[in-house]
Order: sequence, then structure tokens, then C-alpha cells
Amino acid sequence: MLTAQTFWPKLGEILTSLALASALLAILSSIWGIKKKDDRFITSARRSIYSCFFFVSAAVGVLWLCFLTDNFLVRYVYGYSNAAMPILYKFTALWGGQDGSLLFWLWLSSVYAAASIFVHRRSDQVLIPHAVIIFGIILAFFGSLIIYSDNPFDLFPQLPADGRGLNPLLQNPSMAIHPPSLYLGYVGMSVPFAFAMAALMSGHLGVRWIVASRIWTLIAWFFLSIGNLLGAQWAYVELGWGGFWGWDPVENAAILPWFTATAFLHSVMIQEKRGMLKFWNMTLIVISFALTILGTYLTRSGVVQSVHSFASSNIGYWFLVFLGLVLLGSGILICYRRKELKSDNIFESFLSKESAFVVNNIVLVGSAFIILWSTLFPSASEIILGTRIIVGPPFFNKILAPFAIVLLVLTGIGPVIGWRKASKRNLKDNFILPSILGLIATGALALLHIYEWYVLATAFGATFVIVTILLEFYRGGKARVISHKESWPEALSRAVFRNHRKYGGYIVHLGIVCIFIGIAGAAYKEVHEFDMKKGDRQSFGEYSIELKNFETRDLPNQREDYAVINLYQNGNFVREMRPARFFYKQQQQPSTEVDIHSRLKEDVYFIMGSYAPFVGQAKIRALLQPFIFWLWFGGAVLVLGGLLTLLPSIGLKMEGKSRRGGKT
Amino acid sequence: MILAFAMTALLLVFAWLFFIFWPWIEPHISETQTRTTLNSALQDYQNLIQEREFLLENLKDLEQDHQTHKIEETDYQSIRSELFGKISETLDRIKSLEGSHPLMKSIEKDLESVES
Repeated sequence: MLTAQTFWPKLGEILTSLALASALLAILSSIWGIKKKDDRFITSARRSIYSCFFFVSAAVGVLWLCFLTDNFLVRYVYGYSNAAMPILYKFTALWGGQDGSLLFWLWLSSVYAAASIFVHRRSDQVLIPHAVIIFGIILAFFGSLIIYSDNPFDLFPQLPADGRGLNPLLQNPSMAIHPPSLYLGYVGMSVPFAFAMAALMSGHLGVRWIVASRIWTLIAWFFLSIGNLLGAQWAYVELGWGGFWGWDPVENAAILPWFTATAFLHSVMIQEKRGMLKFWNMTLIVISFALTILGTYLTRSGVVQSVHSFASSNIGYWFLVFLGLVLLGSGILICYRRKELKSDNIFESFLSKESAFVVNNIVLVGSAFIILWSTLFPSASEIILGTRIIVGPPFFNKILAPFAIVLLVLTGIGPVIGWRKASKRNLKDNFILPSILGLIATGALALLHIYEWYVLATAFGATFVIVTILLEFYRGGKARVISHKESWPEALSRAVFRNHRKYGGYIVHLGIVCIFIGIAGAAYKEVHEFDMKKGDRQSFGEYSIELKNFETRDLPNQREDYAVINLYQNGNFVREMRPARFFYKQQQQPSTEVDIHSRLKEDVYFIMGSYAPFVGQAKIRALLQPFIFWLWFGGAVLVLGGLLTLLPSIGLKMEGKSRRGGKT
Repeated sequence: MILAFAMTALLLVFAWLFFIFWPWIEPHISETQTRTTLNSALQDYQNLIQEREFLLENLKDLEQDHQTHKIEETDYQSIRSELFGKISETLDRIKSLEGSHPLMKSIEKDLESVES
């Protein structure tokens, strides 16, 4: 019987079915159009992708409507929402569970497919029909999963009184941005993959697929970076353990395509400038996309154990089969076109940009391989040896530290070393000053009795990179001051905007340096733990704290217990800190809410470990986190650099306008 | 309620089919599209224009690397002449296509104006 409450979920099912039909029609229509060279079919295929986007968007809207109207007859709404939950979390609940997140994935996939087809519909007319086939296959796969396996519009026979509510750990404002960013990065990898496959299928392996793939990889990389950084921020603020990266399998799955996409964004420059690494670039695109599918398989199959993973289900096998088909299909296509993917040039010297980028690729892909292997190792050991051998964070930190340091130094070398064969003058001009200043920074730290090798190496690498990048900005500006007779600010801004891709990349590198400084600071983290009652005072380092009192707030969704603490530095009052413990009533689950006093030098991080209200006592944990601010600051710089790189030739347009206006 | 649901579903399906099969309904679109997507000469022309832009961008970067002394003089000369060779070959092919298809340039300009 159809009622007001079943109308919308049923409509949601119709919409997802139409989306699947559109995706299938896009595949068939495009294949037929290419075969018969009939453009009506090709146009129809494109329109099918647009209509798929429309139907999935409408289905997402319907599910959101079900959340907002507390339609607990829908199983998914019941599982991830409750009446008292704030509206923001009713929106974010869309991706809080397996079924909804698959719909969200399908939606983003359709957004990317429709957007890229629309943007490239004229400039890449040869590639688009083939890309439509790939997009259609991806959309049809996710559409089938939703309809035949994990339907978010599934209904209960009877209406429950209230929902179970969203996991309290996910009731954090950053959850409104972190998962969408990560999904945008993950799903975005399908666009370069579609264009790469289109180039292989059509045999048009010239400039166009490279341009399209680079731009869309950059977009996916940009969102993956934001997603991972916000994930680290969420772990730092919400999980209450004081860390930001625990090498959890799901975190690892999220960072893997970032490594390979970063490798591609560097190696593609070699193909653009020297016509080399064509085969490798194609392979990197396939690996990046395959890693997103593998990551999804790991998260949803129950193969790995993680706080982030969804409940294990049979859906994992679907992903495994899809991954196999992706690797097989792309492998066959790459082998078929192997002759056309041969390099135009050869490596001439180890001291060249080409070699620096190849080493960069080896380090990045090597790191990705180590992370992947270490993530899978517990499951592999269980299958082979019958015992689950856990690979913990110390292993990852120890094995990846040398790779990270090499990568950091390469971040400085890559941009300034010459193509083909670096000249002596190039080496002298670009590397002597940064190396000297790097050694001075290392020596200064050693004088402060800091002897950890990776901290010293980070100090050297960070100084080296910062100086090389500043020199690059200086040289770029100076070249324009001399050749165009411009003032310094004008020369610098024009150099940056005219070469926004290059200088955006340098700013990203500066962000990476700051992130490294933040990570290196974690080596000096201090943890202090105190059992405190009202009026107690404790000291650690230059800080002291006084527990003023406890406060309790009873809200409809949760009960909140705060420890109100006065923080002093060298005896002077700094500010009031309010670490807390929340108790979510619907889920019967506690959660820790930290309070952080953030400074450039260090964060003072408070956790209320436990609280006994009848005794009036709490366990207060105070952490000193040196340089952690630089991790987040580096993230912001990286995003800024990424945005500058992505801006489509704004500088050139500005330049053109001012030239037309009579200026040069 | 069932009637409303059936009507909504039917409306959606009808609108979808209308949108998908529009190229068969509106012959002007299919003709225009056929002209733009299946004319291989125009496709080649577009690819060459893009190739030219790409090579010019590479030349600009090379000049900048040379200005900032990142590249050995001999390598600079060799890569420059290699790039010039490719650019001149691309320009020759563009001119030859423009010669054999006089409308090519005006179509390209039309496309550019539509895109901008």
C-alpha cells in the first residue's frame, strides 16, 4: 500500500533504476555510434550520461528529504538518524553508512562524468564517445550495487518510533567536509582513467588525453589532499588520542591513490616536455583508479579491521570482480598500444630533471607499495600462516621515514634542476646556497641537543626546499624586471599568474615542507596524566593547570560533562580550557571532546579521560604537541597552491586584457 | 497516492526518453553534430591547433629555463631547434589543411567564439 511515507522512497528506487538504465544506454549507444559513425547515437549517449546525473541527483535529494522528515520507515534513515539529531548531521548521515555512501559515490561519479563530458564535448570529440563508454560502465556498476545489493531506499514493514542515530564519532562538523572531499578525490580518479582508456581505445594518444587527464587528476588530487588533511584533523580533534595519523587500514586506503596521483602529476611533465614515460604514465593512471576500487573493497569487505570500515558484507566481492575487470581490460589495451607508447627520447644524464622526477616516482610509488603491502599483511598472514600478524604505526614510521626524507629533498631539487643534463652553472646557482643554509639549520638543531636523525634530516630538507623555492620566485621576478622593465611587485605577480601551474606547484611544495615540520615535531610529543578534583593544581614543563570546577549540560541528543580548567604559562593565566565527555543517549555511547590551546611552537591538548561525578574527580590528560600547528598551516598552503595551479589561465586572461588596454 | 506515483513515474520516463532521443526528433542538431564530430579533417585541424598551443607552451617554458640558467647552452639550442622543427611541421600541416579546406579557419573561429 502506497502512503505518504512510502511515496518518496519508492520514487527514489524508480530514480536509481532510471539512472542505471541511462548508464547502460550510454554504453550501448556510444558503442553503436562509434561503430556506425552515426552521431545521433553519440549525442544520445552523452545525453544518457547527463540524464544519469539528473536521476542520481534527484535520488540523493529524495534520501535527504527522508532524513529531514524523519522517515524511519526507510531502513537507512532509521540506522543513521534519530529525531533529536541536529539538522547538519541529518545531511551528513547520507554518507554515514554503506548504502547511502554508495549512493553518494554514484552521485559524485555522475557529477564528474557529466561535468567532464560537458567541458570536453567540443575540444575532445574523438575521445568523448569512448570516455562515455568507460563512464557508463563505472556508473552502471555502482547503480547495480545500489539496486541489487545495498538499496538505501529499503523499507521496514512497520514504522519504528525513532531511529538509532548516527555514530557519535561522526557527529562532528568536519564530517560535513571530510568524507565529501575524500570521495571527490577518490571518485575523481575515474575521469583521468576514462580519458586514458578513451585514448587507448581510439588510438589518439597525442596531446589531448594528457591535457584532460592532467587537469582532472589535479582536481582529484586536490580533493584527496583536502580529504586526507581533514581526516587527520578529525582524528586529532575528535578521536581524543592526541595523534593525527594512526596508519589505520582505511586511512592507508585513502592515501594510496594520493601517492600515485602525485607521481603521475610529476611524470606527466616528462611526457609533455620530452615525450618520455608514456607507458609509465598510462600505467600510473590505471594504478591510481585501481587503488580507489581496491581501497573501497578493503573498507567494505571486512578484509581489514578498522574503526572506519563499514560492516562486512558480500559487496566486497563485487568490488574485487570489478577491480579484476579494470586491471584486465586496461592491461590488454595498454599492451595493444605498447608500440605507440614508446618514448620519443632517452635519459641522457642522472643529473637532470627527468631523472629527478623518475626518482620522485620511484619513491612515491614505492611508498604506496609498502603501505599497501603492510595494510594487507595482517590479512595475508592470517590466510597463509593462520595467525594475524599486526603491522603497527612504529613499523610504518620506521620504514617510510627514509622515503619521506628523500622525497622532501627531491621537492627542492626537482623544480630547479635543468632538463636533459644540468649545467655546472645550474648546479652551482641553485644548490650551493640552499645546501649551506640547510647544513646551518641542521647544525643549529644539533647545538640544541636534538639528535634524532629524521628531525635533523627534516631540518636540512625543509631549509633546502624553502631556499630553492624562494630563489625560484626571486629569479622569476628578476627575469621580468630585466626583460619587461616592470616593478618588483608587478613582475612577481605577473610571473606567478602567467605560470600559475609552475608557481602553484612551488607553493604546494612549501605546504609539503610545513607538513613535514609538523610531522617531525611529533617526535617530541609529551603526555602528562593527572587525577584531579576541584581546586587541584598540577604542573608540566612551563605550564600549570588548576581544575576550577565541573559543568554538566543536558541536551536532547546528548549529556555533556565539562572539566573547567585554568591554564597558566610561567605562572601567568593564559585561558580557560574545557575538555569534555559527551554521552549520546540514543546510541548509549560516550565520546571524548578535547580542548586545544594552539600556538606556533606547540599545542597544549587536553583530554578528559574519565569522570566520576559522585566523587567529583576526573582523569585529565595534557599533551604537549610541538609544531603541530605547522601541519595544518602546511595543509592550508597546499590547498592554496593547488587552487593556484587549478585556476584556468586567469593570469593569461588578465595579461591579455591589460595588453589590450595598452599596458605591457 | 498510487495514481500520483504512477503519473510521476510515467512523466519521468517520458521526459527521459524525449531527452535521450532528441537527436532523432530534431534533425538540425544531428546534422550539425555530424558535421562537427565526424568530419575527420576538422578533427585533425583541431588536434593540430591544440598541438601548436602545447608546443608553444613548451617553448615558453624552455625560454624561461634558459633565462634562469637552468639549462646548458648546447642542450637549450638542441631542444629549441627540436621544438622549432615540431612547431614548423605542425604549422605546415595546419596551413595545408586550411588550404585544402578554406572554410576550416572560419569554422574553428566559430567554435572558439561559441566556447568562449
